Amino acid sequence: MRRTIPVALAASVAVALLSTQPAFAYARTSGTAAMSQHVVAGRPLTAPNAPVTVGSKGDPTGAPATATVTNPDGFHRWVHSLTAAFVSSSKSNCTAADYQISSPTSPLHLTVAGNGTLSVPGVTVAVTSTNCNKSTVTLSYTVG
Amino acid sequence: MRKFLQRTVVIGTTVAVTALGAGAAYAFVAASGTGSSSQSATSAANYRLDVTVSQPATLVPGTTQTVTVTVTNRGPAKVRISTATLSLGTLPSGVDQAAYDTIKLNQPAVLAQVLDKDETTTFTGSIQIQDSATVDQTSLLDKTFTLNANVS
Repeated sequence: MRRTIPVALAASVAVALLSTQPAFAYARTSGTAAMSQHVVAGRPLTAPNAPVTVGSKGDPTGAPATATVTNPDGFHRWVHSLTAAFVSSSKSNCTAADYQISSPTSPLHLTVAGNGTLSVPGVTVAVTSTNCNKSTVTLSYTVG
Repeated sequence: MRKFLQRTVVIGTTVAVTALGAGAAYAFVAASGTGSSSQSATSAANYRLDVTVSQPATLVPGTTQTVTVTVTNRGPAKVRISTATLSLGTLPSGVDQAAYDTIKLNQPAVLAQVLDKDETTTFTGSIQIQDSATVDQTSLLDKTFTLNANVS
């Protein structure tokens, strides 16, 4: 009995001390790093030229046209503006001055799925010269 | 009884000194300077981790890229690390906050570990720009932002 108690006490002390050793077995510090990440630019949205047949001068509404916007990227893109412009007329003596072309009001908030297409309405073409009545106008589109 | 107590204290003290002596043998005491009288504490300034973060690809919405964090212990002794955190830098000029918020980070899974002097380890996380059908990400395209890594 006289020897058992001191040995047990010593063992307890040893265990207590040894169990604290890992806390002293290393240091703590920190480090940081930074890098630049670039995001892909995205390719331009496009809409092919398309024909529209107009009515007659004085029609209360112009002939409607719809642009088909193509997204060449594999992720969603947004259409903010669409502008239609005169390219040519089926009547050789008709020019851009013989038509009134209206584009959708900007800004638009339309999304096109990745590698998808989107029909954008809101373009109208009115004829302003009687000699260009019933002609077919080819329009180009600029997508912003 | 008095003799008995004296022996107990002697034995206990001997064990304690032995244990402390073993601690001194490690010599990588916490940077605060705690230690026995036989050793001098190393300044915390001497403990240094070299950290690099790498992700070489241009980011494309909808595509996840792996981010590698490399850590090297450049200090004089062992260092314990337990966290590696990725974060984004400040909002780049001209980028909408909503678009910036579509950048998502997947934090590295880090198990606490001790690095020997000059030992290197790596962690991997990931970064993705979500392909959003509801948030206009146009302002984010062709822009550059900062990706940070913090290891401790």
